[in-house]
Amino acid sequence: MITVDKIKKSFAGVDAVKSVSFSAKDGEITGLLGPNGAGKTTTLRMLYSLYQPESGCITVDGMDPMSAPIEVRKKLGALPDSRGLYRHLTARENIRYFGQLHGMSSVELDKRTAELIDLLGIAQIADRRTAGFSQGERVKVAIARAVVHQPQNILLDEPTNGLDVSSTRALRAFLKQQRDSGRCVLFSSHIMQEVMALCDRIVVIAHGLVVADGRADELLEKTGKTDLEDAFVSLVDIDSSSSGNVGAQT
Amino acid sequence: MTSALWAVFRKELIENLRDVRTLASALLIGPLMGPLLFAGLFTLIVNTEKQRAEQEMELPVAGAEHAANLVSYLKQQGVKILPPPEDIEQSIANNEYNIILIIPEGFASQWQQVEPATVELVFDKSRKDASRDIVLTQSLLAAYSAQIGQLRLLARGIKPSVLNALAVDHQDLSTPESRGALLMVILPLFVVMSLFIGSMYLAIDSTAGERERQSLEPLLMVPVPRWQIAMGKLVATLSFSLFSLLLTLIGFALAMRMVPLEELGMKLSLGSTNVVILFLIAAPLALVASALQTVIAAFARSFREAQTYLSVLMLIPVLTAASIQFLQDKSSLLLSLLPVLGQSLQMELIIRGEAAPLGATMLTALVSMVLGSLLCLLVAWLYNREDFL
Repeated sequence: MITVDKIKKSFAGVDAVKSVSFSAKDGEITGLLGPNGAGKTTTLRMLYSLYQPESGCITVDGMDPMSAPIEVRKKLGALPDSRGLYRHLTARENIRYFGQLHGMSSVELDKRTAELIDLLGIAQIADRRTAGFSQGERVKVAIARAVVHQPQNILLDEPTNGLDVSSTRALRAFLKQQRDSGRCVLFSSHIMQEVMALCDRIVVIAHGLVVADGRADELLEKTGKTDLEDAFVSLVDIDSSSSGNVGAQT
Repeated sequence: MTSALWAVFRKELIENLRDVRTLASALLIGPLMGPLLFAGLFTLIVNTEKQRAEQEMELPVAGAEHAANLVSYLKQQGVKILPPPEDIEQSIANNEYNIILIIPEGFASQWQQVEPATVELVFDKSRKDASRDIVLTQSLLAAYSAQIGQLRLLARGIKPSVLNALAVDHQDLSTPESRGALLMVILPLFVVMSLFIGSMYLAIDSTAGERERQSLEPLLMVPVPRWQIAMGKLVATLSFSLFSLLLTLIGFALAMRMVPLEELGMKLSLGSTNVVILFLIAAPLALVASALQTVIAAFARSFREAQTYLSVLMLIPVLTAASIQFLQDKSSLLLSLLPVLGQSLQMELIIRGEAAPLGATMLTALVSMVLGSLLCLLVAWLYNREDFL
């Protein structure tokens, strides 16, 4: 369970996130939808306590990332914007390294790593060094590494970027399975079809502000459009007059 | 050691030991460059010297018939007398001969009248390889001249020693070790270099490298205090630096055994005790090298950028180590406290076969360790900054 209340963050005087509030519940997939530069990555980075919000407040399972970053990180598994692997380590070693940093025991790690390799269908590449991996293989390993400690909350920043159809489907199946086991899944995307296909709730962000929050049909109703893409464009354009492009994605 | 710090350290070690590029630069080129250069250079010098010493001196003489006594004296002294070439000056210019003796026609009449009899030596002093023959010929002629002069004085009833107003005694106090040490200023230089080269790759890899490979963000998200991640990486970097140092010292010890330096009148040896002492003297610098390079690399966005910074940075300690040659007052305590400079001076003492003063050496080590620790704190602080990402 994640709640975000009026968080704000700026870089060198430019507001990346002006005021964002939403909540992501356990047993649901929440989508953070917005165009490039809307503030999605900055918002997520504040959730996993890489950035400190200037104002506003965040809770992850009732805890504040700023006052208890270590505890919060234990409850979070994240696939961030950058998802580099260590190319001289095998896929399995990459996953195990993060498990060790999460303080997992060797026995526990053996079991969990085998389980994840099976779940994500990467058995064939598990003991190869990651240097020559395809984009899809890399994302799968990065996801396994992110959830190795079985976090209650799973955060993903544009997880399907650069993935082909079959990898995207495998990822969706994995996220649905996580939701059905009662976890809180939050992911960001700029592709509406994807959010529609997967999410129980959608939070639309544009120019650092939340412009809509609800189920897919509620968003259509609110905008009075029948087509999803029209609805998205009309939502995102609402505030475009208030400020220019605020990019915070790195 | 906490388990996270240990996990980071072990992962860095495994990853870099699998990387051919790291291994080649940190543990092969860096440590072996100095010893190989030393061995190659000195083998060359020793061999050329030996060849030249064994070679019989050849001396073409023009007009040998005018001075049969002089020529037979030269033969007695082991000089091989050759007939003169057609064009004397040209043959010197062409490197055919090192020096040529010309005895003019008037020699015999000058000799009989007891006037200084003129002989002429043709040579090119700028030719380094000819210098031995030039000096030898000149001294042989001077000795012959003195010998004949003494006989002439005796024939006139005068003590030959009246010609010598002074008797100069030479006492060369240089020992085989100290003569060798003159050449060994290169050891501190390569030792300092090995510390920096050994840790350079890991210092970059753990900061700018993680950033460029996009693995820093996931790493900073783990529930571990960042100083532990930073220190795990630093300990790995330090290990490579120390390992590189050890290899350099062992390399030098082996190289010195291979080169027959005694033949140059030098005695140099690096026994296992001295290898350990040199290691202990230089080790605190490994901490400075590792932490300093990590700090600098932390400001770079890419591997290449960091490499550029660090290559320039490395000039400072290397030039400092080389500068001990030009120091007038090597005993100044203040200078010896400076990192790199102090260690270089102390290493030089050890190589010269002297003992480094214990108190000053400990103080130098302490200063370097304090500096290194401060730099480690700076690394931890940088890791904690929001814009480190």
